[in-house]
Amino acid sequence: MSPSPEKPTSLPRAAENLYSRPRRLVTALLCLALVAGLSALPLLWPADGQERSSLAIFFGRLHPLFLHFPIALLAVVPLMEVCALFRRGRHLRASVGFILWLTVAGSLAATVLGWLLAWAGGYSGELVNNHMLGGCLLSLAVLLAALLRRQLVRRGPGSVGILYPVVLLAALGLLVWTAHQGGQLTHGERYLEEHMPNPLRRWLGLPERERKPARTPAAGAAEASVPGATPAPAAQPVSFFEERIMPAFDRTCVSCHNPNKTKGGLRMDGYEHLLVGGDSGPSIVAGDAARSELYRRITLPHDDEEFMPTDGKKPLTAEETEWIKQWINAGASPDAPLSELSGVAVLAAPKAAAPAANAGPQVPDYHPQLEAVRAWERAWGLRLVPVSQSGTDGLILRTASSPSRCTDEAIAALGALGDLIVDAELARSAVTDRALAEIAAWRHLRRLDLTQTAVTSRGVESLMKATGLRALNLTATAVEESALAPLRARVGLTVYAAPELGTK
Amino acid sequence: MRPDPTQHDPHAHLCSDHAGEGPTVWDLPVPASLKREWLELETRRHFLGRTGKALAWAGLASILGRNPSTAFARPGAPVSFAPHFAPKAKRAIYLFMAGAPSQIETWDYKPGLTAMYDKDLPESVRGGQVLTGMTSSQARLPVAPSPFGFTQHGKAGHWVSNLFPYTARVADELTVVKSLHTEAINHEPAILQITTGSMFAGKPSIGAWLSYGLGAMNEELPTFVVLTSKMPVRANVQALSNRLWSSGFLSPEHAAVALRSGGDPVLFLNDPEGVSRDVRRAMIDGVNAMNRDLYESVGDPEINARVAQYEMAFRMQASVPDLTDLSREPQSTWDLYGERAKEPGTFAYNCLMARRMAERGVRFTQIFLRSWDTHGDLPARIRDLAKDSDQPTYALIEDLKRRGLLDDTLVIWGGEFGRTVYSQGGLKPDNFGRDHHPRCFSMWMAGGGVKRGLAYGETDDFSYNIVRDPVHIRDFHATILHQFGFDHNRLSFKFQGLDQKLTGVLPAKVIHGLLA
Repeated sequence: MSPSPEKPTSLPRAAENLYSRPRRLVTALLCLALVAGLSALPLLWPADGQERSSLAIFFGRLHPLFLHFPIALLAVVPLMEVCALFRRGRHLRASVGFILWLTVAGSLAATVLGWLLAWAGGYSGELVNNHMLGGCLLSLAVLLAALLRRQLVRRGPGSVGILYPVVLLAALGLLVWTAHQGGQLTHGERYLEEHMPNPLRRWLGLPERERKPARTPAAGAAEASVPGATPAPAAQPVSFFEERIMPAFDRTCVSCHNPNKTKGGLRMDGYEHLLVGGDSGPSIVAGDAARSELYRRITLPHDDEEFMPTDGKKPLTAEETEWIKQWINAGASPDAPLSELSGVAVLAAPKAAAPAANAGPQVPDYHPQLEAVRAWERAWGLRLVPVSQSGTDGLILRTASSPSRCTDEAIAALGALGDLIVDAELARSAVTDRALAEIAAWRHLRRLDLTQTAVTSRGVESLMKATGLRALNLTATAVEESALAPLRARVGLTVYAAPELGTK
Repeated sequence: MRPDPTQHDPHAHLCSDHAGEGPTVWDLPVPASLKREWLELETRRHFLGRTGKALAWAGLASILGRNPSTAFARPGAPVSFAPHFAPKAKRAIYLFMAGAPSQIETWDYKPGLTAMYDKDLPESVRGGQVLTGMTSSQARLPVAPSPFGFTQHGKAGHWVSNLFPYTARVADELTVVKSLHTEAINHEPAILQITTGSMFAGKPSIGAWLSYGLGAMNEELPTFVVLTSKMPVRANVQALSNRLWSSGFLSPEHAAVALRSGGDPVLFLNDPEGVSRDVRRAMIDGVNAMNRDLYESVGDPEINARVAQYEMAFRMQASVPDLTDLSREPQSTWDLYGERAKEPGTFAYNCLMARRMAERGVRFTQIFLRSWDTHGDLPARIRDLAKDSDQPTYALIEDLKRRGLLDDTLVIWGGEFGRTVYSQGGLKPDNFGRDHHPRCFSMWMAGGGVKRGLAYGETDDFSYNIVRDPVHIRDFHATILHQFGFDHNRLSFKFQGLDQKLTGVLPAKVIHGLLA
């Protein structure tokens, strides 16, 4: 389909007739074939949510690259036509045909690639179908406009009447509609309206935007306590899921996991869809974040193929990831109240509230304290080692390389860092009873090894305060069995003490 | 080749577990992609092989804003990481029974065999399996029952061979796995497979992977130590080599230091007469300075490994004599391990050393005891081997337990494959042999977060085929890594175009049934 050059009107009529008849037939046939082809693609091979060959996906992903050309070109055509009405813009008329045919080619390419993306890239749903329909209609409208314009140029204005501008405007309208749907597919259905000012929303008949959602419990509480300000939800406890989890999903996940674009067969636009899951099975296992596919995907390294959100979209924040973990571990209830869950949240009040099921209270994330950790390590030549890559698994106080450096002063210098320590390896160190008073106040200490140290029965008494302690090792110390009785009686605490095992 | 931290997990908090004044990976504000690129550029082949990349290297240096050789780690500092999830075990002691102990005499009790004495192994059991050249020419394959009785012990009721009266006392601590299997049918490939995950030499050993992944707990001692034991009997002894404890393609500092079983534990560690420790220090400083200069100019990470080895050797000059000085052990130690533990190089001595190293923070201790390869004269030889190793094995478990170390120390006992139910050569009630058998063998584990008193897996009546819960060596490795907090699929190192793992490329699974 080569762009037909502008013909000078002076061409003899006979000569034109000589060529135009077969050409018109060819043009008509070609157009028919295109119409049939374009409508056949989405009908024969619809977007059904299956992922297909990656080569097809590769080409399909050129769709965003191609589609912007016809958009720009199509927008320019009416502008040029209007300008050409004036004397100073008349020269533009000569170029309009070329641009219009270029638009035809571009929109056809974009449509075919778009279908390829939808068919092979795992898309499905009403939105993508509408978008495809829009793309096909748009291509046809542009083609029709180009043909009409050719007729107009050849036969004069009377031949097509008002049809050309009408079709052109219709194409523009289709463009806006289709492009908007494309934007919704890519960025989420509420992309455009999300930050739309309320007057415009009213005018468009959209519901008014709510106030900024409460991000922190404090803010939520403050808002609720303001008399008169939308008091409706205050009566009902706000659920953790609705308040914390769903907004995070809405922002990060739902743009690809919704009824219209259901990547991996997973929808995330409602609680029940999370339980149903997608192609990889249920996305959450209530009570066990570690075994939940969703949690696994969002905590993978960001360059992992399976990491979510994919394609460089903005990932969930560390805070949101933590909420999700806690929410799943606490049973993934859709309506557990905010207050109940945020009680164990790291981010909520630092006061260690009721310990969660069996995991004990959550240790605060060590990451914000890295500077302090390093400073202490440098100052004392000892180590604070993370238990794991998860910030809330706590730190190990490790002294094995040079236990004699670990003195009471070194322990005192830890200060608030003590609350990050879950395991204190103090065997053969220089700590005495004085340090034990400090250590007993560390809120998350679970294991304490005091093998072969100078601690005594008196020091051990202060450990009664360390209620989270699970293992206490007093091998080869002078601590008397009588002092250990209350500790031995404590359920969940194992005490090792064998004074005779010391070195001679 | 230095471990590439970005392989491991680019978003990990690169927290090295090594002491020292120098900068550690806590300090690194550099994006993971830059580090990866830099490390790639830094390897010898890339750097020397392509001058074009040298320019890029200089360019990168200016991006990093400082000399690239100091941007990452101080020379010699092992780069190590926090585990993927909270580990159950901090250290492991692997009692490696080289030569393959017979499962039928040790942990896989088959009372039904007595009635089958000298009867031919049913063809249906063998299932057409090709036998080794050592027994394939035998006219018949007569079933040989164990001449040793078994008794039930502990609350768990483990059936323990009467060969192990001491170990039976700690039966409730053990998880016995009777369903291990392997592909290898001869010693060298089989031992390589179980120590490194591959029948071919050149892969890092389990201990090297743990050192790579976790780093040292105690900078003064090696992270991974191998102890070879004097043998109570000497027959069919296979050579041990450092292939079994090498670091493979990982940086050499992750390889085991093998302490010798006689004489000086580490050769040439003592300063010669007239050389004081200060002189030695000055000498090492001088050599290190030269090595660092060389590193600045060519960027070969092997140089840093060399610097690290010098430093480790220097530290070991002080720490090893302290480690091997048993004079301050209380009498209770000798009561427990027996008097033979006083003789360096015996299995008993090595078990005591393993406990001392566990106390001091050695991550992985592997003790080899050889000559379990009983092709003939099995009853007499296995009796001697059991007598030599039973009490120390029990002592080690008991000692770790009473010192509160067993909870986070994984103890493993086992060989490289099993032995056949039929006799190799002539069969007499008290004299016969057993050939190699890869289809099933037994091991046990204790401590380190595995279940206590569990018997896992089951073999058929002939201890020939596995009938329930098979455990491949890969699964065994995946389970060990799991106890140390690693997902075996993610603890990897890029080498020869592959993300190399201990468990290799075939599917492996963590045996959760074994875990407490």
